[in-house]
Amino acid sequence: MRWVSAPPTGIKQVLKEALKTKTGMAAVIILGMMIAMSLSIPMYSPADFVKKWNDLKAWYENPSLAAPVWVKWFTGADLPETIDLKASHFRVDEEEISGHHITTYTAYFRYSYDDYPSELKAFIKADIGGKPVRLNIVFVRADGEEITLFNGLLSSNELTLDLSLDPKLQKSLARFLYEKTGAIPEVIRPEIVLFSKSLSQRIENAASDVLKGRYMVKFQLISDRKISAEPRFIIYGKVFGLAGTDLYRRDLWLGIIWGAPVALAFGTVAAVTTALLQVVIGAAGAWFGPKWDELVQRLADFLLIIPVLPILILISVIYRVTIWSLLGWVILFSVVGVSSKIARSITFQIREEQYIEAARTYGASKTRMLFYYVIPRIMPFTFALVALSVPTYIFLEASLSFLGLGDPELPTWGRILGDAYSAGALYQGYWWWVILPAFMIMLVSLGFTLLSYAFDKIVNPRLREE
Amino acid sequence: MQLIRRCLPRMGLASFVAKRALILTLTLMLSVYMTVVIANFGGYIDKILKDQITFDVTTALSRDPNFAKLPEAEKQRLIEQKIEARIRAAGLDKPFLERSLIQFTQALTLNLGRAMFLRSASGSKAIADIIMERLPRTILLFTLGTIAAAIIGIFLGLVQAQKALSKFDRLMIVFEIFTYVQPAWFYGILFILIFSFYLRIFPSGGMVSIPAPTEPIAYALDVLYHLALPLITWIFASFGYWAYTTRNIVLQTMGEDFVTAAKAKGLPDRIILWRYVLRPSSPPIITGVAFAIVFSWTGAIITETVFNWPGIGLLFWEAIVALDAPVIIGLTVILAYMIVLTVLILDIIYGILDPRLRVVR
Repeated sequence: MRWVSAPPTGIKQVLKEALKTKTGMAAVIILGMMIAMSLSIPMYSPADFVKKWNDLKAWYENPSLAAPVWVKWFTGADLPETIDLKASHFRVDEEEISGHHITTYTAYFRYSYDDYPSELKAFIKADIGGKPVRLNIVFVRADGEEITLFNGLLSSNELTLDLSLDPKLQKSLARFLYEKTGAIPEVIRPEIVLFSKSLSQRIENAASDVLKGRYMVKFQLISDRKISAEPRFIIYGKVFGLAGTDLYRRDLWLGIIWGAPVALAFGTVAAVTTALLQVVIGAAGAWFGPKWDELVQRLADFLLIIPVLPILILISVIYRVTIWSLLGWVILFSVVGVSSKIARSITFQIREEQYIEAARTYGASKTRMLFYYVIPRIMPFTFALVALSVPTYIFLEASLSFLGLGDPELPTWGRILGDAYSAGALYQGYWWWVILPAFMIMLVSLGFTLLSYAFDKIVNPRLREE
Repeated sequence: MQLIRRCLPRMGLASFVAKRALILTLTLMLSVYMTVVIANFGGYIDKILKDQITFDVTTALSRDPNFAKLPEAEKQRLIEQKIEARIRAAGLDKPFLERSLIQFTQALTLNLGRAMFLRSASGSKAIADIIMERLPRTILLFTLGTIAAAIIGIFLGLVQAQKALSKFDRLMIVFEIFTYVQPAWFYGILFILIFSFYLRIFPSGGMVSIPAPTEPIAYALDVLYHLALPLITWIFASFGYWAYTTRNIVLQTMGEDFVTAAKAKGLPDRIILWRYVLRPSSPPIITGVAFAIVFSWTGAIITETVFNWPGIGLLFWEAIVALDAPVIIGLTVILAYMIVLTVLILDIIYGILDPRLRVVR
């Protein structure tokens, strides 16, 4: 009974004391960083980000499975970033030869990276007015070698050429290599043939054999009338952004950043709501008499015994939970818990204290006493538990999302990890896809662990430093 | 305090156990019924069962040469008749409330029935067979892991309690809380990436190599090799809990008057630790270990999935993916039984050891 009254009891006082300790400060710094990161999102993330995240077509401009840019500093090699030649990069030349309009779009770019690109794609948008138009795409290497990438009819207003997988290009490259070297390699990868120093070399070669210099891409449209087109040529890199990209070309940095407010909001709302409910129910049981107490105790037994995670998994499989309905289920399954036990035992102790007696003599109602005099006394004792249950709830959500059962819309850290796992990132070594979101979850849980420890030290004298 | 308690009315052991058993049975029934209702909600599972019957009947009849000779209208009638008979035999024509009660009693009597889609490796569809095939593997990994983590943690907690509030102790507390807050599957994916992909020390998953060695000793070694990484993961994810709890419980006992008295008597430290501190500290720790062993099976769902360890957890996940309701219900019921039995056994032990628990409040 002694230790109940010894430590600081006011809610504000406990918070103030906690921030004074070293661990408390560290916790505030970590969590403050997270909050600042969450608040900065509107500054650089597109407004319809959540929709875009789920629209896999929206990310075609990014390379697939690219490592973060800062990998360059560790490997020493200048890994390629994406070179995006948009319509504005192209010079337009028009000529007319015997009734044929020839429009040529030419773009130059410098390639000085130490590794081959990961992929090549050509796009063209043109208003052909329903009549097919002849299209030539020519690539000129830095050493002047000319390679035709496409030679055929453009029969719709838009064309996307996935050059790295194009079977026609494979054939023409094979012919090209045979003419130059007299041999055809088993595997032809266009992004290597177009950028390697020596054609006679075997194709699977070290990165030092990249031909550096000025390259050129030419789109040529031949038609009987004047046609304006928007060509585009993307040389996909191997590194991208602060956190790389996933298999679906999504910018992982945006996903990771977005995970912060979702995790923080879910974790804190769940932790604070359940703690409040648990304290009120636990204290009310002990306060209103044995019958209520018995009821609360049995409910606690029940919730202790049911296997919550399997049931939550079952629920999310059958009903497809959103983050809010998941929150509801989580709260439902923890209306009574450890905090109610604490609340109960403290209520039994302070029931007999003088200020309660004083309240009784001036005629305060039982409910008023419970909410004004009992519960505020209990709350500080739950702070450490609340802080610790925030990461627990974050991980609960992450566990469901990892299995693909979480919110189908929001990007959460668990979902990113789950995507990485199911795409085989662990076995292919796409470490950035796993380590970076994992690091964020660990940082948040470290923040709350420290906060919990700081609270515990104040309320629980066994942790007091001498 | 002691005096007051002695005057309070106290139940006999038998009535105490009876009361606890009654409460636990009610809890068990409630949670089993809840599982049945959740797993069937919206008649979703019933619909699948009916589809399954239709499919079974049509395929069985289409294989029958006599059936093919019948006229079209006759065929249709026969199919419908058979389907209806099967649906009635399976009890699917009854309203949901009645059906759920039937499933509920079947589940409670451990009449687990047959799986809809899953099979055991030996080809059996009986849920009891499937579960019995998987259970030893989960016990091997998680029971072993939980016991090892508890031993390591308890030892660490004892060391910390003796050096309470030293720099080492405070650092360890934060480290321990930090490690046990994160679930095992989380370490699992990191460890697979580090130890299996980059360092190539351990296999990334599974229980045996493919093809599995035929010689018994080689087979056992192969299983151990595959067991190592998930076991390390599980121990790493849970030792912190035991260390932190043990530290706190032991520290509390060390502050009790009888320990001070023992010290004043000049007893050697070893005797104080073993006889005066550990003995009263052990019941809550043992309770914790018992619970953890049973509950580790639920947490194992994702860990086993990540490591592709073919135990109960992976079975649960496979059943969910296949929407195999009887297996899901069967597993949940077995789990609920295990938990309830553990609680009851612990209640009985403590009821005998600590008469204070039997006080009628």
